[in-house]
Amino acid sequence: METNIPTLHGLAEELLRIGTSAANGINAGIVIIDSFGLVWFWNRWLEEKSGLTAEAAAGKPFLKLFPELNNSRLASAIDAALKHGLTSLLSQSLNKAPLPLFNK
Amino acid sequence: MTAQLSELQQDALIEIFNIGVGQAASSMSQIVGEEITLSVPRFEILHNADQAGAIKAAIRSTNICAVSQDFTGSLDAKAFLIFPEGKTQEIVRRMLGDSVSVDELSEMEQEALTEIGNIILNSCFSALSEVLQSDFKSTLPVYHLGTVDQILSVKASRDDDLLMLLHIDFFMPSAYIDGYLFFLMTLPSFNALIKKIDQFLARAHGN
Repeated sequence: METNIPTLHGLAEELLRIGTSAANGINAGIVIIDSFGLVWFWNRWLEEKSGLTAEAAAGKPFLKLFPELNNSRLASAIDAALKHGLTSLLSQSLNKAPLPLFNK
Repeated sequence: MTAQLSELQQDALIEIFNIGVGQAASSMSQIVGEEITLSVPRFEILHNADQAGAIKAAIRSTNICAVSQDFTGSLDAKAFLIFPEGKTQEIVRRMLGDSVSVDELSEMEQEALTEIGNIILNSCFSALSEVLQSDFKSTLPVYHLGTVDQILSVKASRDDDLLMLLHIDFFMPSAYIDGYLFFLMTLPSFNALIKKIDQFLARAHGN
C-alpha cells in the first residue's frame, strides 16, 4: 500500500512530465527564459520552425539566438518582464512575426 | 477624507507619467516607423463617489473603449486606458498602415488596441518603478467596450477608493487624438504612492 502514496518529489516529476508533454504538443512556440535571459525550455514547435534543437538552445542567451531581435518590441517586452515584472501582449496585428522564423 | 497633493508632488507625478508615455511613444513609433508623440498634460484626483459623473463629463461620451490591467506591488492599482467610442479606429488605422482593408481593420482593431494599451500602461508602471524605486507585477491586458458604468464597476469599488485621472494626448502623423488614463486605487495604496513621491523628492533635492 505504501508504494501508492506519491512523494512530493514524485508529484513534481509527474507534473513536469505532463507540463512538458502539453507544451510540446501544442501548435505554437513556447520558450521559457530565466531572470538572466537564458533559455530553460524550448518546445518542439520551436525546434521545428527554428531548426535549433532544445538541447542546443538550452542555457543560451535567448536574444543572442536571434540577433535580429536587438532593439525589437519583443526585446523591450522581455526587458519589462525581467526588470519590472510586467506582462506584455504582442498582438499578431502589430507584430506579424515576432521571431524571425519564416523568412529564413 | 480628502486626498491633497502639493504642487511639488503633482509636478513629480506629471513628470513620471510623461517619462512613461514618452517610452510608450518610442515603442509605438518603432512599430509604425513614424513619429508618434504622447504627452500627459494634466491630471486630477477624483473620489470614488463622483467618479462616474466626472468621467462622463470629461469624456463627453457614455460609451467607451478601454484596456485595463491590474498592477500589484508597492501599491495596488487597476489601470485603464480609455477612449471615447469611435476614436480608436483612427489610432489603429494609423498603427497598421494603409494596406489594411476596412474589414480587416475591424477584425484587428481589438487586438491591436489591447497591445497599444498594454504598451502605454506598462510604460507608466516601468517609469513609476524606476523613479520611485518600487516593484510591480501585472496581469495581461483586457479589452472592454461598453458604458462608463459597466466598465468601471468591473471591480466593485469602495467609497474611499481614489481615482487618478490623467489626460493623454496622442500626436500621430496628421492626427491628434485624446484619451484618458485612469488609476483606481485604495486609500492605503494612494498614501503609499505619496510616500514614495516624497522619498523621491527628498533624494532629488538631497535632503
